[in-house]
Amino acid sequence: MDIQLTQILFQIINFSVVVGAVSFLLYKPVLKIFDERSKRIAEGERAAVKAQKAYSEIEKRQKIVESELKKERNKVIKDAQTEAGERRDTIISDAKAQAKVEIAELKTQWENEKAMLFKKAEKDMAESILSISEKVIGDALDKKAASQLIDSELKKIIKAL
Amino acid sequence: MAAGLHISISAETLLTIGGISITNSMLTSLIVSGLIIAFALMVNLKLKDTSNPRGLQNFAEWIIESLHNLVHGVTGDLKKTRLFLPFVGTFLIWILLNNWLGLLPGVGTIGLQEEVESTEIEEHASSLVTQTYAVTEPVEIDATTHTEVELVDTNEEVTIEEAHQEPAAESEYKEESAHGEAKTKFVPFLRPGTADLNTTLALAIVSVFMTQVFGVQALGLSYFKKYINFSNPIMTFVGFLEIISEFAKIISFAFRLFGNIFAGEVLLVVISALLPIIAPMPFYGLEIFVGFIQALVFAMLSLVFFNMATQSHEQH
Repeated sequence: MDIQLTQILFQIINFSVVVGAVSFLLYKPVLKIFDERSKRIAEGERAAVKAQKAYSEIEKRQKIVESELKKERNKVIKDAQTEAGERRDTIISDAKAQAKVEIAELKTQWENEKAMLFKKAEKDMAESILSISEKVIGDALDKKAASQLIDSELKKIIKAL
Repeated sequence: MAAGLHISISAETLLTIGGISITNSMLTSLIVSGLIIAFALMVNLKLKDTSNPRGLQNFAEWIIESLHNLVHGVTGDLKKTRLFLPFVGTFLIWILLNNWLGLLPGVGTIGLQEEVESTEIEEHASSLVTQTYAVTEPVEIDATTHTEVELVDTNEEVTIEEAHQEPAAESEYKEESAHGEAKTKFVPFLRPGTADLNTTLALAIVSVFMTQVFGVQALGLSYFKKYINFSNPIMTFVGFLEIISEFAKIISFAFRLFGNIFAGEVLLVVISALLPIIAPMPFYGLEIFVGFIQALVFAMLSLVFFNMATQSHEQH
């Protein structure tokens, strides 16, 4: 176990060189990178906090806007419903009125047509009765007797109807 | 096996440059230093300021962040953390790699057979007998009459050799010819840096020296009040004890690391010699763990001492 000063000095110098070299080449640059990265992370965190704040404000604002929109929507729906109800009533009443008019017109038309048909039927019937009577009786009736006969027969037919 | 059972408490000299011996532990330490610097350089070249690091940068960031958190957990002060991190981190990584490098195949087993002087054989044989093996009878060592022959003979009574059935000294010193010929000694190219007391002493000195530097940096000259305080006799005595404790720190740092790693090396060599096939495996696992723990202990103790030095006496 020989302790030699030269060897000790050599190892001290050797180790010191390693410390110096590693400190210069490795520790300092890597620690610098760590610092810059930490700075970036801190900045990122600050920005994130800021963004979070802005986001929560936007969220708050969004909620307000949403509630306003909801109110407005409800109002619009209500108005629309009211208006639609009014319109519906108007349309129904108009339609009813128009229907009444049309029904009345149709009734009148019906009555006219009915009267016309009756008249025509009356005429046709009279003629046919007349011809039948002529054939049955064999004599020609005068106009007055013929019309009395027609009337009595028509009354019978109408009653039957 | 090039050299069989090779155990040497001190590092072996590989070559001498300008009167300075270059040992195998110095070479290993240089390799570790080179690896660390190369890694740092590669990371530095690929470093990008990105939020999504990948590959080597990711790995380097993981290591440094872990070390940073470890140091910050003790100091609780970012400024101190940044000040201590290079030393604590490098202590941990450098010691860890040195410890683990010793577990690689070839480290301690690949080397040269060097011719040695007879006096060297005598010293080595004595150290082998006294430090490593339990010898039942005294070993006669006579360098002039070929000591290694004597060692081979006497080692028949060494328990470890009975199990292995290979003379221990034969692995270290071989008789090249019958008498009066050249003798050789096995010198491995690599030896874990931390298995050399000179390295661990150097690390301990750096740690204790930096403790004083950080103390003065933080407290100014009042830091020395800890050692020199004549306010009352008790404080004077406490100051004296503090001075002694600084030297004790160096010794405890150095011997703890050296003892653990060298003991691990010896354990692996002995187990591998006794049962070479599967038996060493759990011990390798144990040594990986011990290597990490010792590196962590050294780094954490240094960190605690650094931190304590930067606190004033009132803060204690």
